[in-house]
Amino acid sequence: MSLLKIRNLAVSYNGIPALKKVSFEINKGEVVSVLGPNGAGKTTLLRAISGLVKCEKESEILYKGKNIVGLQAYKIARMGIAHVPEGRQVFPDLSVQENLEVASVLTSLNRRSGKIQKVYELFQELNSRKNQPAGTLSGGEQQMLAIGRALVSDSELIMVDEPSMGLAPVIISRIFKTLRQIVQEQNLTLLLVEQNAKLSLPLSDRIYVLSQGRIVLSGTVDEVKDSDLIRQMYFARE
Amino acid sequence: MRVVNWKKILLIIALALVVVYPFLDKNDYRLYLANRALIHSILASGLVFLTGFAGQISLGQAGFYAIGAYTSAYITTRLGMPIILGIVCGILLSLGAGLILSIPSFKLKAFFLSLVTIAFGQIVYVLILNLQSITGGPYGFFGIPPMKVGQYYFDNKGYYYTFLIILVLVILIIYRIKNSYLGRSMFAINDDVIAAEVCGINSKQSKIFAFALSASLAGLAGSLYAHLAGFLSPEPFTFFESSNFVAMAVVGGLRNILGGTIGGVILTFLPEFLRFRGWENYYLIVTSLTVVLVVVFMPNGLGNIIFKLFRGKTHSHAIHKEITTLRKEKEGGTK
Repeated sequence: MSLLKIRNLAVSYNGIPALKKVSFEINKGEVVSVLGPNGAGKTTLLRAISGLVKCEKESEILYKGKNIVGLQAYKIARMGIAHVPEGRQVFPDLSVQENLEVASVLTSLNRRSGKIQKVYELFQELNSRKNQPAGTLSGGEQQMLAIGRALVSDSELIMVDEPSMGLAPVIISRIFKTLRQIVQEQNLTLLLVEQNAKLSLPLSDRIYVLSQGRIVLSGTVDEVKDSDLIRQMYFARE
Repeated sequence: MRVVNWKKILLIIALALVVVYPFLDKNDYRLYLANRALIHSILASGLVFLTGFAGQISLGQAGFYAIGAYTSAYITTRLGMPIILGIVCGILLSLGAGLILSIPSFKLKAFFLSLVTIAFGQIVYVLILNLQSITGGPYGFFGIPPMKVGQYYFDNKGYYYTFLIILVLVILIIYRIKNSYLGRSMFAINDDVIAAEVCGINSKQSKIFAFALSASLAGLAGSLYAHLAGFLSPEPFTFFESSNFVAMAVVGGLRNILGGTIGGVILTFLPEFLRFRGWENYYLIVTSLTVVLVVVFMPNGLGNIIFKLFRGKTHSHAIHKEITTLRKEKEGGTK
């Protein structure tokens, strides 16, 4: 059964189309990657699902069979869709612990501390900085915290936008390793937006390739990996 | 080795002074000023909550202050109701106005929101001037009953302790909220609205709450003022007063739980003290200059400086302790 089903999703900024009738679906427990060059509409796609941008009339986003187009962002978040925004938007003035607490509204009280503890186990760096303002963390730690915030929210669908942005290779591989671990252990559904196909392909079950607001290619990793389009886009130089 | 913690002693002395102040100072005018300072502190604490915690701005607090004052005055004087009812109605009416004023804050930010709140303050001011049958207009509102317990009519001392208790309660309430989920989500919204929304935080609800709370506190302050002064005229409810309230919150420290109190006390007493020394023409200039200097050189407010002085000691004290214990352990190990 598909957890998220998107039909004819169209978004435009002041009349300039960013997404043109995009349709796709994600099944429960899957890891789906969206690839595409800059300006393809990847971030807009996530923002549309989260309710942060307005969709055009005919758009349909069905989450567990319910249309969520037009709902306020916080309501969508409370339905169980967590969004890790691009550029690691942690709350700089709140401590690490408070960042996690604020994000755990959905989680029932008695499970909250366990969930937070689990994040500290996954990212040991955060554990030692519990009471430090999040603004003083390094870029990698902030990304870990942003992902941790999505994990404590008890969401079924987690959307991660460009987790590798501006981070050192060592940290990036740490984060992707942890993402894989999370998906395997916690039976979550992951929608991953990432420019770096080399990182996201090994993690994913299926791939969608966005280009200029349209899905130009889709399929399982094996199908897509060998396509000429992907080769042109990403592996041409290798 | 026992270190005398002189800062703790200083704190206790300061608190004791606050408690016995009415018995130390025989000057009734200064005591009246202290009461005004407490009222201002209540209002400015609400502003600290609104601006420092929730990130919203209001340059129209005098409007809520006026609504509280005139409502309580009207209900007790013209309708002959008990004072406590007047105060409650004053709070409720300001709260209602605050709820309405929170609506534009959903769409508007900083500069534009401040214009809306200025307009609100102006509207209330014009209404006071023109609704003469209710407010007395420019002639003023006379004969507001003073507070009393049984047969004892409050003098300045009675007001002082009443207001002090109310202020402490207000600070405790704000402290509780600050450390609750609601308070943290306000800081989160203040940091980043989008990230807060995708974490499931209802930013509208928080803004409504912040406006409602700060408006009710301004209303409370206003109705207390009405009974303290016994007479209302439109002057204390101008835009100048609104900006003065903001200055109190900023000088005290916008992110400090005691910011409103510190700013309220300083900016109530400072101009009056300067006025005594033959500076009649300059005291407001000096007061304004003080505000400018504090904003430029201590953007976190005087409250933070005071907090730091106290915390700095305890912190280095703790480190010192840690080092001593480490050294002791090491010595023990070598033996």
